[in-house]
Amino acid sequence: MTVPLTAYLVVGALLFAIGLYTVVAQRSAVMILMGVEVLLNAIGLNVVAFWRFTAPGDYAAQIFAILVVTVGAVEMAIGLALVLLLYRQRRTAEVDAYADLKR
Amino acid sequence: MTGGVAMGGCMDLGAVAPEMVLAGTALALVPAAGWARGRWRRLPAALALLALLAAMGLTVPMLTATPREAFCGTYAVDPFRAFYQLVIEAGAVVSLLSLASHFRASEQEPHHPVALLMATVGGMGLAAATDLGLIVLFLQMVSFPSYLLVLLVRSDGPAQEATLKYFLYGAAALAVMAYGLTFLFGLTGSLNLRAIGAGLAGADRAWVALAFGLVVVGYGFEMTLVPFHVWAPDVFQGGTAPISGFVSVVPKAAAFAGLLRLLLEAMPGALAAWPSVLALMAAATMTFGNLVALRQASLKRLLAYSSIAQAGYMLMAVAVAGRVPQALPAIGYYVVAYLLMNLAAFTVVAQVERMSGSDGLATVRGLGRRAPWSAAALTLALLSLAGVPPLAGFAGKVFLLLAAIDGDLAWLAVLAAANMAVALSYYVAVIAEMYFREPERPEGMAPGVGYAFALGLCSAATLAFGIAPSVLRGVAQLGATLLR
Repeated sequence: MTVPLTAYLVVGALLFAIGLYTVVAQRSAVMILMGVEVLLNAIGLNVVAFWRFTAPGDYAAQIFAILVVTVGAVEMAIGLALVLLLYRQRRTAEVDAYADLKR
Repeated sequence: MTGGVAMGGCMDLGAVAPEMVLAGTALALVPAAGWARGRWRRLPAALALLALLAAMGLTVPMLTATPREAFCGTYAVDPFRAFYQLVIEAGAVVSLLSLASHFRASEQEPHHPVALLMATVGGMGLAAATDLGLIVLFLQMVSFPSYLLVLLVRSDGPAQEATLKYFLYGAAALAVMAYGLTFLFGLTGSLNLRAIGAGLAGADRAWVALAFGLVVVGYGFEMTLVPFHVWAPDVFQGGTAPISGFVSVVPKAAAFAGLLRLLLEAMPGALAAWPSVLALMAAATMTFGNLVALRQASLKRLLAYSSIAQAGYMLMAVAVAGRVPQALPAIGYYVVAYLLMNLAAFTVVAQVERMSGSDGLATVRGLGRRAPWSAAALTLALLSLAGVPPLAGFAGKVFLLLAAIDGDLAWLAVLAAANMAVALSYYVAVIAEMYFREPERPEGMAPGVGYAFALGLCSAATLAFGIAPSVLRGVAQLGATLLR
């Protein structure tokens, strides 16, 4: 029994929706970072599923997936360092606390 | 694309010579910036400047190259790429000059060139990438160092807030965009832009529209298009002025190059109705930017909204780039003009900010008497942004309007002309503060050779390109040839 492409895409879309909701609804910077990470996983799943079903002979898509993982790692490194720095200065990682610049 | 067998045939290091010079210098500067002490702290900036000039020298010959692919169809060597890479390098040179003066003898002095070079390489790569994976990579590469640049002064409260907003918006927007790119791959089975362009012709329109809608989010973020501009005013206001200048120019120029390449190579014709979508976004962007700019009291925030409006003008020509051959040179010309006038304006704001510790409109009061040269440079930049002849901004706006009219977007051209008239008022308001109000503070201007060079270069070029637009227009015409 093979799982159809649609199933992968639906899971990918769900991951994307969950990630996007987390980014929009969460107030803690760390949780927003987690949402971004879920978004990146949706991309990875989509790419690998599309690779398997539309171009199984072209390994370039796997490189794409590896690039997405790499980008995610770098993003987390910068993001967590930034959150840590902000937390040390102001004792909070809630994004709503950072609204001093004029609207 | 052909895999490992043809590996030898794919290598073409000459195609990435400018990028390698810059990336190599940046890597070498990472330890050097840590070791530098005393007088040697100036060294990284000087080396970065040399590397940028060398990279420009290596890029120039590509302006007349026959378009070809390198690295198995993932990287383009064409005049289009060379033109935008030169623009990005020039933006980096001017930013570096004013940054070097700004952070003179400060803790940050050896560190900023590293991040600046990295962001520059990312932007240059984006202008040349013809592969979806590389587009994702280079978009991130231009963004990550920009986040770090904004947070260069780590104890600076506003900069911390600005970086947090920049980072969170950027991470989300670029992830959404990459998700859209996976659909382009899924619909065509290829990561190459031109293969996608050929494959999309028979694809389901609804899916193409979905993919395009997601992809625009990422480019819209980098180009500060409404409604993805939300981060820009806060980041430009919170960041140090020369860095705001860099962030307002380099990622934006790179994103314009990247979006143009994607649209012209991967979405030929008018797939997903992109000309109409972009025309509407251009209208929203320029109108919103100008209307909000009218009520700003902070110079950096004013320039942020002004740069949002300027992106709207440029997008107007992008919307017709598929059917009007004059649109590409018009965008090329305007990107250069925008770079010159925006960097000049941010450099003067940097001087003011360094002297008075604030960027409020009142700080330039009486600047005409306190610092005549800086005041003249800011006046020239603002008049050019407003589109007053005979400056580069005027000729550029004429080219953009003509392109829009040629592309049957007369309504948009009329709206843009009305916008330019409205914009004149807030630019002139700043000039009036400088010349017709009594100074509140007696002090002059923060001195610096870097500032002087940056302002001199920008002002001279704004004037020269404005008086003789045909020279730059000719180069932009060369740069309109891209791999298709």
